[in-house]
Amino acid sequence: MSTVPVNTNKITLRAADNLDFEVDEAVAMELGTVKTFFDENPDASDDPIPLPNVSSKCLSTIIDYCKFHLALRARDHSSAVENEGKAYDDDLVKTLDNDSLIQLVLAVNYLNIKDMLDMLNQGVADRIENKSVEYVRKFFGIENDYTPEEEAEARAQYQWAFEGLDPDED
Amino acid sequence: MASGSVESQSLALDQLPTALLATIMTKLDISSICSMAVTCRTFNSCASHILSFLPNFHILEISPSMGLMKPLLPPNPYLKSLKLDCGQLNDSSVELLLRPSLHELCLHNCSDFSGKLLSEIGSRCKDIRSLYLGSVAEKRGRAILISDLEELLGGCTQLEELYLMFDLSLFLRHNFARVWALASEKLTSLEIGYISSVMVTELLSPNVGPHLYPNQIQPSILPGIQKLLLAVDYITDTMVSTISKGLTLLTHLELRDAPLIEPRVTFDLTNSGLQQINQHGRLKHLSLIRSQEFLSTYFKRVNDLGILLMADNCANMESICLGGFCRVTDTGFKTLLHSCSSLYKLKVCHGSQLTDLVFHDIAATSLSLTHVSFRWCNLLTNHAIRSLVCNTGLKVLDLRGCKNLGDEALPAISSLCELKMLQLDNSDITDAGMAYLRHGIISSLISLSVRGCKKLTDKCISVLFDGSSKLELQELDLSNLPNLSDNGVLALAKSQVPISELRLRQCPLIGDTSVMALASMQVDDDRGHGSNLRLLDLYNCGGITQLSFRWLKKPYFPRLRWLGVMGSLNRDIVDALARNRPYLHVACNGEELGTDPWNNIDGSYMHDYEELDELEQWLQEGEWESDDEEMEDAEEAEDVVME
Repeated sequence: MSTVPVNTNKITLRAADNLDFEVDEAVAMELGTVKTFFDENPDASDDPIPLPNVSSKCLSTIIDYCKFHLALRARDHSSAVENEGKAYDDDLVKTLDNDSLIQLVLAVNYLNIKDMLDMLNQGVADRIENKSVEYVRKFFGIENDYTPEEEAEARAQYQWAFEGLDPDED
Repeated sequence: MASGSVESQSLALDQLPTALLATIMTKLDISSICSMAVTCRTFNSCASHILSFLPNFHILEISPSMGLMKPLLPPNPYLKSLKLDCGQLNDSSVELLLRPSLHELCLHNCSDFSGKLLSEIGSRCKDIRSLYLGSVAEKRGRAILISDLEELLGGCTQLEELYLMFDLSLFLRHNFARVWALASEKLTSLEIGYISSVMVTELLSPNVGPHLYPNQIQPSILPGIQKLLLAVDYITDTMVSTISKGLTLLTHLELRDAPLIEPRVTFDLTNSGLQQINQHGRLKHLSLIRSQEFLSTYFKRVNDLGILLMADNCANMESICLGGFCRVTDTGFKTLLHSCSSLYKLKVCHGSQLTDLVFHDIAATSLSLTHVSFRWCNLLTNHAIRSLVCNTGLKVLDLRGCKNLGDEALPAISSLCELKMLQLDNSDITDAGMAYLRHGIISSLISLSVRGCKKLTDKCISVLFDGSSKLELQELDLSNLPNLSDNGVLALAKSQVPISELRLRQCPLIGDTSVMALASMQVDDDRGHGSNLRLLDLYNCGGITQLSFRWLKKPYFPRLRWLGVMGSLNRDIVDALARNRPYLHVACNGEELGTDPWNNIDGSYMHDYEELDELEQWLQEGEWESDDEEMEDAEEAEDVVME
């Protein structure tokens, strides 16, 4: 049997829909939850690690992200490299519709990937900045749980913030 | 929008953990946070919670009252940056606003405060690094005492940047220098709204008078200053020389004056003053501007010799702005271009002797200019522009008032693919010329001004915008265009260009139809009608009647914050609009909208008013006819638009 060098240890991650993804150990360690698991179970078998809260679509995006940024960091820390990273991030967020973006945020939050989470949070913030109350409700799928009196009170209190962005009552 | 894939589900709010929501909310500005608080109870408690650890609190678009502010500023030990328009606040707000945790404080429109504001900052905000105070105590009956300034400078020992944007010349002179000696040694940046040049000279001169000990070294005043920006009464040789000698670390010097009377030789800038500039060799940015605000006057005692002497010292300069140097010829300006190899910004205003020859061999220099401004340089022709565009990295090109520029300059300009801001006010361009912009830079431009280009007609709008996809344009100035009519604005609205600032000042043919068209403009992002406009200037537009005001009320123009109208139009209607939209700034007296005071400093916009005399006459002549016709047209157009 050939000996496998430690660095190219492969780890299998199993998404919610039972799709398996094989990744380098270095990439897997970018996922905070996975890293914690291995820190606590150093003798873990080679079984695939189940990630029931992450769809395969999200996991694939996440793995690509981690691979890209890992390679980028290995190069150097010049501003050109930083710009490349930023461009990749911007492109990624641009292509996501609102639902996919939120799904990804949830997945990254569960997997505890700090930089990616921060970047995605900023993407969400940019999308809801200066938008009307109705838009934000639709974006997050929020049910309005105010009583009419409470809502009127809240609106009066914060009227200045969204004055004009919402159409008047019909 | 709903994806069809199996695993997507409509999102319930409880899926998003509160901590995550809070993190996202902290990235929003305060008005978005408040807006979100209205969506549901969870977000409301999230918002309240966030207010107690929010690091940045900025409200500059409106003047909030104390009642509005109080719930938004609970105790918050993490508050680092506070920026506010204090138009409705006064001394009683001091306790609410001034927090010891603050590093950055920026308060505009403090006219109702007294000098107590300064002393309170000195005692409460000891950790502050950057402080901007605008218009303090300008209201009648308010005063700033020298002791207030003393307590400010003495208390804020960590201060690095200080902007006192009000009149300091009212202070007692004999105490002034002593007070400034108290300023933090870390102070590197100082801007003063107005001060007399004599006070500046006295402040920075080595102390004169008997010393207690013969070899006592007087501590220098403001030793660490790198950036100095002053507006004074007269820029004089003495002041320039004192500044240049006294401030050894100076990298950035901006001086602006606005003489009330023609300066005498002892109170003016001459060639010898210019020679003194940059004595310590560190200067990178220089701006000397004589404003025409009160009097039409220039730096008459400076000619090419002065510039040549200055250029000797200024090989490392990166940015040069000269306003009012009417005696400097091509020789002088050319010397600057050839001596300063790192120059990226060059601004000349009222360069009445500047000709094309300056740029004759600009390609031979290794300059890569990014910001170029030649205002009221009447002798420049298209030829100069063709040479200038060898600087392919140009981002800002300001050619306002260059009357001899025309269509032939535009193909050259349209080759500048980095160009973000283009101002061609009062030039000789026509609709045909605009076509060049369409094929070149219109997709990357952010700001475009063709104010006063009298030959332009409605056609230029369709030439520029028809069929253009995805434009970045945000600011558009179509003021003073006598041939621009409602049809042009209709074309603009149809093109769905997402502009946020539109100026249509003094366009005699613009009327109610334009307002209706702009109000109904559809922009993809938000649902519902209403354009992206934050600023709309309709001052003195010939056809605006009371009908327009119906379309200026909510829910139209949802984002509008600045509106310019003719105040003489029914006062009641204007007041009713102000009540309907309490957070809209309405300007009725023809003042320019938006916040860029430096743009108007040389009073060049005053020229608009002179030229306007003929326009006003024209308007008055035309006023008697077709009032009814206009109403009919307006109603017809309304029908069309409502479909």
